[in-house]
Order: sequence, then structure tokens, then C-alpha cells
Amino acid sequence: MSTKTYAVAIRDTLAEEMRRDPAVFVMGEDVAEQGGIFGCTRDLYREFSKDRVRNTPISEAALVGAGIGAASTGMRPVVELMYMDFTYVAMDQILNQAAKIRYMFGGRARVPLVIRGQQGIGRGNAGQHSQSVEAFFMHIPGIKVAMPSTPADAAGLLRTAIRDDNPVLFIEHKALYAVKGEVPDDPEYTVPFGSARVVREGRDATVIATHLYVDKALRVANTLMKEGISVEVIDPRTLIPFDEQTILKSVAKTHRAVVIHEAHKNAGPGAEIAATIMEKAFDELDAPVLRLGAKACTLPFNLGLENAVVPQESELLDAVRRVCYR
Amino acid sequence: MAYEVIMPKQGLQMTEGTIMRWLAHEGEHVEEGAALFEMETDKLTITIDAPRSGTLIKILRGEGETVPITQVIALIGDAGEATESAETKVANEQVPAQRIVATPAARALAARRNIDLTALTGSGPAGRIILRDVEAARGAPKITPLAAAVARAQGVDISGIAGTGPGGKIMKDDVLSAKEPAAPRDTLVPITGMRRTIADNMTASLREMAQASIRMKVDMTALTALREEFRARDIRLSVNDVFVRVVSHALREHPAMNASLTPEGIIQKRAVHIGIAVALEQGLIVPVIRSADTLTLPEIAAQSSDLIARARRGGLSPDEYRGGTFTITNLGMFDVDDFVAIINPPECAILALGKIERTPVVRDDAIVIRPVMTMTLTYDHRIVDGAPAARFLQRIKELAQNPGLLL
Amino acid sequence: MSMDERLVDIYRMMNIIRKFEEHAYELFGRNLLRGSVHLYAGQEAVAASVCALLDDDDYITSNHRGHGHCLAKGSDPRYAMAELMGKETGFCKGRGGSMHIADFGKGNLGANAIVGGGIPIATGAALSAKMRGTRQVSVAFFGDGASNQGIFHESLNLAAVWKLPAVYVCENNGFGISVPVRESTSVPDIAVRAAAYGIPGEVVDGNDATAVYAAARRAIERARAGEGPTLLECKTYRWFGHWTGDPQVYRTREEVEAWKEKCPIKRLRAELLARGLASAEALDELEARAEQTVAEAVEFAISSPEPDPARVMDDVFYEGGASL
Repeated sequence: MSTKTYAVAIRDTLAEEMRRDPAVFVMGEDVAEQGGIFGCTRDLYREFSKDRVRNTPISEAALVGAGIGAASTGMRPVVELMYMDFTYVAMDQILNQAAKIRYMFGGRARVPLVIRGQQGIGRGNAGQHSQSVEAFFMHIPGIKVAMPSTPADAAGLLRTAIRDDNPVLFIEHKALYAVKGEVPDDPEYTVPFGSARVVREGRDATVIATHLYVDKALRVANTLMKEGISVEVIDPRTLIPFDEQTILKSVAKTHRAVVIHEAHKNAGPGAEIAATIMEKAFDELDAPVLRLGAKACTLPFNLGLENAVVPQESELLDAVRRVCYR
Repeated sequence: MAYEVIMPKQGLQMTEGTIMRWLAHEGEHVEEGAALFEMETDKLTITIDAPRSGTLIKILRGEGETVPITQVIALIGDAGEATESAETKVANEQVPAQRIVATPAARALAARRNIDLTALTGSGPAGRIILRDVEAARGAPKITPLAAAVARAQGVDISGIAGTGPGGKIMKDDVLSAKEPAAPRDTLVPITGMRRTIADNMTASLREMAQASIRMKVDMTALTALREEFRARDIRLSVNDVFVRVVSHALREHPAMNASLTPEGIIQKRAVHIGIAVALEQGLIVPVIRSADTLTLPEIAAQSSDLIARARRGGLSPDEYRGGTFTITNLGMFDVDDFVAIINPPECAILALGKIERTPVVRDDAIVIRPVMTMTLTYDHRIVDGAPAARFLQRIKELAQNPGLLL
Repeated sequence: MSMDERLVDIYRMMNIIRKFEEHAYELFGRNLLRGSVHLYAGQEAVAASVCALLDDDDYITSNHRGHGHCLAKGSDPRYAMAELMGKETGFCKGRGGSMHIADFGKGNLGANAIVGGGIPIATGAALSAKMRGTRQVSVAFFGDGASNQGIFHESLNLAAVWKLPAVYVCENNGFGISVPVRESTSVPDIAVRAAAYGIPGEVVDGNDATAVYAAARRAIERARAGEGPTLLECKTYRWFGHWTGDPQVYRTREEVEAWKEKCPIKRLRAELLARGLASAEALDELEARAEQTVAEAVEFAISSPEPDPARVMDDVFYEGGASL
């Protein structure tokens, strides 16, 4: 185990995978000397050359498309998008091409492509640099969606993503990059996709949280413990594939669930999760599944406004109390 | 066309039943499967469910009436029919069926625990019934309609009563035993089915049989130790349970005691079915442990406790208290030293057990204190004579004092 | 192999493509094909000549009008026709259809129904070839319409910056569905757009197989030599409407007939005969065999089983094990 930040966990995993497999390479805007503007590829070009740590023009669609072409012909590209908001610039390549190639061509292709980058609030990046994009990619079959919330999960999930023969959208969070945690030193350490992590066990309510909200949910759980409410916190870790069993098992125990994420609440991931619980665990529910997500409003620049759009810990506290009828 | 509710036949030998209490009023809506009336047969009290849903248009036979089986006792129809009927008082207030707002989990738990959601008050928003309401309802009294009616009529607070029925359900007996003793006054107790049956049977027994009794003391030291041993293994054996085993063993060796006199002659029965006399508020009932000679002590204990519990709450089917070949009765718990019982026809003997008392006895020329019980065997002298009856009782004593012989 | 030797083979392939398209048109009329079927007839010289220069492990990406590219790259017409009919034996097991034929075994990374969608993918395949140090080249086939998509420009820039072994073959057939090129495109020759990326751009008569061959050879040799990409614009004409059923209000019958006079197959036949590279009998024989090959493909496709609806969810994801 080593203590490292989320960003370093990503960089170290990239380096280990590039050492292990010459087909793995990184390309993106400012990934070489600059090391990525968040430092996730810092100094990799020194070891692997600029051939394998490739600066690209600001052409996100071509960048992803080239990744698809390379992935279809024996390489394992890791394409860095500086902001996940830029996936929208490359949407055709991600959703019409990468996600569909295998199926549309009768299963005769593999596209081991990782598209990674960060999203979310926290730096006053406003409307086009602070969005949470996961819901779009959950909707179109053929692409996996990973969302690590800790340095260890960042390492373990990224390694799984790189070794996966399917396109993976690997969504990091800008406010997690500096978070430190214990990361296994094993260069084979992987976290399988579709395995949720029960972060904390509880009896009375299940909180399903991603990214920053995992930690916030833990704090809320501690507060509520003093009120006699025992909260189970689950981080799904990957949204596609989604670990239904762990969530349904939890709800069967607690009978109450709250889903919280930074993505917009409307048609957000929480809608899918809540509907799944409703469909498959209806008789277990003692309260409506509540969803907390960003308001249906563009992410504003001003910090106070930004916080007014995304769910706050106090709202989660209230929501859990509400489902527990307190 | 109204549906005719009849006096139903319950058990093979029932010919008539007494309506004890109607649980619905005329004009009231009754739900198929919900309790409709209480009746008493010759042996037990039974709650009879409504055979179909509808309005109880007319009650034709009132409480206390004894009605032959299959006779019509009430009419169920729909509310329209009820209003058309001139003789029927109709409760015309149509209470609109209130939608019960309950969470899925609350509904599921209520269904599992057989809890009626309409009886609950929801503590969730807008009165929504939530899981904790149903969980709390487990602690709320589950009570039979009859017991509830008795409690209401007699002003008994049921909150403190521990029910003896299934899942702790409060039975009529539980209510009655919780009742404050009433002021002394003469009471007229109508002779209803069960009392009447006992009266008839006992009179016939004494009239027809040549009953004789013999008495013997038995040292209960070993038997008490045996019960302690089982208790250590969490198996509770009553004195009766052990005697069921002892007697059934002895009966196999003495078939003459397991017999009935018929016009064709004496039938020595192969099967050993031991009846145990159980005292109920309204009379005596003798549930039967079938083929007792083939059962182990724990099996006997389990069966007898089940039968006795169900006998107490009127839950025996008629075929569970008929067909015995020998009866054991015990009044030891009432401090009775010994007593002569009346044979339960058509059996040929009955064993009456008194209390166990620590008694000075002589053993190896020394006086020691031992638990001693007196057994009284009453037998039908028409079937067996004194000597074989004595040998039978002797064998019972031997087995009781050396229960190892049974194991 | 010299160009002259290859020309007969190109002629053979052009005939197979022509017959394939004629049969497809006829099958559509008989309602044996459904969906969008975009026919390549009239443009055969481009696919046949370019692909004649490619090895099996060279890559192409194709577009919605992709039957010709697929056949020219060496794919079995039986599986192509079966895919048009949505059969289990088709290249894509009936999941793709006319607009999505791919044959990874022959380096065909797929036809693409998003205009311009395949261009960056071919670019990525070129990147892959360069990084792996092979001599493979990657060819993107696309139409005039795609040259107005941003991804065309992004991809050419990327390939130029990285000197990728890519060839961008624009088949300018004069129309984006109904809109003539002069109404949609800022320059009369799309090839001049190469200048914006500092790479060679060349205009070729797309109905002249030898001219296409010569220009493509220059581009491919340049790519294999590590000198970077080339943009070829092949001016040509499609005989059928944009799709089968197109009312073709945007052009006159006379215009179509005039282009049919410039039939690339007729033209190559005349050239082969004039230069004594083949006898009329030999060429007739090739045509007859092309007809036979395609008729067999149709037969195969018609008699092939439908895919099993119970397996419709197969292949959304690669789940491990051998798939290729």
C-alpha cells in the first residue's frame, strides 16, 4: 500500500499499464510536457516518449475517432478529454461509432478504447466545464461507464478499463484529484466492473452515491447515527455495468433508499437506479426512493450559485430523515 | 337470490350445533372468509366464517339456539336485496371503502403477519401506514372476535393479557381467566352441547359398566430424575407424558386392558390410542394421542402439548378427541391425593393420577423421603377381573419406577 | 504487378460490383431487401482501382454507399449480399445491413452511415499502423458531402501533423442527396482543401480506372514511405438515385444518360481492347463470370437463415473468449 492522491493513482496506473503492454498509449490535449492540465499524465512522456504520450490538436471528435481506429486495429488507446464536457463535441464518435461498432458489425470487432477525463464542480468552471455527463452514456448501449470515488478505485477501475476490450468512459472528478488514500502497490490490482462497494453498512436507509457524494454520504451517516438512524452507503463505482444485486440486497434490508449525484436530477442516473429499485424491490420499500441531483439549471460560475444548484449535505440529511419518517 | 347460510357439520359425529354468538349484525356487510358466528358442538366452540361476501340480510336462528346440521340459519345477499326485504333493518349508511395508503413494505409485512391494515393508524405523511406501524402492530393484541366480544361485554382490559392462541392470539379463555372474579351470586349456566354430552356419557358409563377401582403407590424418584434429564436437553415432559408412554407400553403386554365390550363380544384393540383428560372452562375434553405405543417420549411430549393447547382454545377437530382406547386423567395439580375416575366409554379402564408428595418410606430398613404418587385404576369388571387389572397396574408401577426399561 | 496486369483484374471487379448493384436494385424491387440501399453503380472505377493497390492487411473505412468498397477490398459477395438481406450469414449477422458492412479480416473497418463518420477511424488505423511500425496504409472513402463535415478537416489536420500513412479518397459524385456540390461547397475542387493541411491534393477523373489507379498509387506509395497523407478527389457520378426510391427531382434524365455514356466499365473495356491487354472474348467471359458470382451470392443470401431473435442481445459488449 502507498498513500497517494487520486491523480497520482491514475498516473501510476497508466504508467504501469504502458510498461506492461506496448499497445497501450495515451493521447490528448496537453498530455505530454504539460502532463495534462490536472497532472494525470505528468512526466509519462519522459519514460514512454511523445509517441506513446501524444499531444493532440484541439479536435476532440478526431481524437476519439482516431482512438477508435487505433483500438480496432490492435492498439489500446487511452484518450484523455480535458473536460468531460468535451465529450459532447465528440458525441458522434463516442455514441454512433465507438459504442456501436461491435454490435453493428456482428460482433466481429473489439474496441478496447478508454476515454478518460474529469467532470464536475468545484473550480468555478461554469456551464461548459462543470457538467456531469454520465447519464448520456448510460443511455446508449455499448459503452461502459466507470466513476471512481477514491484513489484505490481510480487505480483498480482504470486498470480494468484499459484491459477491457470494450469502449469505456472513465469519468474522474476534478475535486477528487487532490484526495489522498491508500492504493495497493500491486501492478495487477484491479476492481472488477459491476461490483458496487458497500462503503458503510447500515440498517435503516441505503444511500447510493457517486464521486464526491460518497464522502458526503459518510458524513451524513455519522450525523444520523447520533439520531439513531443507521445509514448504509453504497458506491456503485460503475454505472454500466451496474451492480443491481448489491443495491437490491441493501434495500431489502433497509427498506429505504436515497440516490444522490452531482448530475442533473432530471433523467439522471438516479432515475434509472430508483426505477430499478422500484421494479425489482417494490415490496421492500417503506418510502418512495428519493433522488437528489443538480437542479435543472446550467451550472453557474459563482460559488454560492454553484452550491445552490448541486445537492448539499443538509439536503441529504433531510432526505434520509424523510424516508425514515423522522 | 340470497345465499342460505346453514348450520355446518363439523366432524363426523356432529348432528346439531348451538349458535353462541353472531359476529355480524343484520344489514352489515360480511366478507367471505371473515368470522360470522360462534357455535358450540358437543365438544368444542368453533368460529364459523362467512361462506360468501355480501350483506347479512337476515339472521334466522338467534344466539343460544340449537340447530340441526344443514338447517338454514341466516341469509346473505347484496345490499339491494337487503333494502327490499321488509323484515330486515338495513344500515343504509354506505361507508365508501377508504383506500388504504400503505407502503409496499408495510403491505408485505402485514400480509406475512396476517395483520389487518384497516385496523392500523398510519404514522407516515397523510396517514400513510409505514413499516414501523405494522411492526408495532405485532405488539398490539391479536384477538379472536369471540374473545374481543367477551372482553367488550365484560369490560376486560385486554392490553395486559398474554394470548395462548397461535402467534400469541388472545382467546376467549384468556379473557375469562383475566377477568376479575365476579361478586358472588347464583348463575344459571345453560346446559349446552358440550355439558350435555359429558352428562350423558358419564351417566351411561356408570349405568352400563361394572366399575371397580384399585389403588397403588409408586415411587417417582427415577421418573422425576428422567424428567430432569430431559429438561436439561430442553424437552419438557409432563408426568402425563411419561405415563402415556408407560401405559401404552403396559397395554401392549396386557391387551385385555385395551378392549371394548360390544354385543358381538370383547374386542381387544391392536391400536393403542391414549386419551388425556383436559379440563376446559366449559367442560372436559379428551384429546387422543394416536398409536402412542409407537412414539418416543419427545414425540409424545410434542403431540400432547400441541393437542392440549389446541383443546384449550377450541382448535381440535372432532376426530382428534375421538377413538381413544384408554384414558389417563390427572388431578395432581389440584392437590388431589388420589381419586376414582369414571371410565370414558367404550374404553375398559381409566388411570387416575394424584399428586406427587414427598413421603417417608422404608428402603433397605431405613426411613427415607421419596416422591410418591398414588395411581387409581378403574376398570370394567365385565371385561377384566381384579387380578389381571392388578398385574397391569403392577407393571405400570414397575415401568414408572424403572423408566430405563422404556428407553 | 504492373498496372497493365492489374487492369484486367480491376475490370473484373468493376463488373462484379456493377452486377451486385443491379441485383440489389432488383431485389429491393422484389421487396427482398429493406432499409436504405445506396447503390454504387457508375462509381466502380474508384473502389476497384484504389483497392487493387491495397493488401489484405491494409485498412479502409467506407461510407453509406459502401458495397463497392467492400467487394473491391476482397470480401466475399455472398456474405455481403446476405448482410443486405439481414441474414445470419451476413458479415454483420443481420445487425448492420447495407450501410454497415464490415469485414475486419479484409481490413474493412466498416461502412458508416454517419457522413464523414469513418474518416477519423481510418486516421486512427493509420496511427496504429505507424505506431506498430508496419507498412500498412489506411484509406478513407467518403463523398463530396463529407468534405463539409468538421471531422473531415480535423482528421486531415491530425493525419498531416502526425504524417500518418493515410489516403483520403473523396468520391465527388456531384450531389449530396439532391443538393449539387456547387450549392454546398465553397470550392469547385474539393482536392484544393488539402492545401489547408499542407498535404498533396489531386483531382482525378473518377470514371477513368487507369487515372484513379495512377493517382492512388502515388498517394499510397507516399503513405507507405512515411511521407504522410494525400487527398484524392475522384469526380464521378452515381447512376441510381441517392437511394432506391429517390424521385431524382434534382437532375434530368438527359444528364444521367450523358454520364452513362461515360460508363467507367465501358471505358476500361475499350482501353483494354485498344491496348491489346485482353480479348473481347476474355472480357465477355469475365462479365459472364461476374454475373454468375453475384447470382450465386443472391442464391446464397436468399437460402440463408434469418438471425435468431433470442440472440439479439449478443455482442453489445465483448464478454471475453474468442470473437474474431
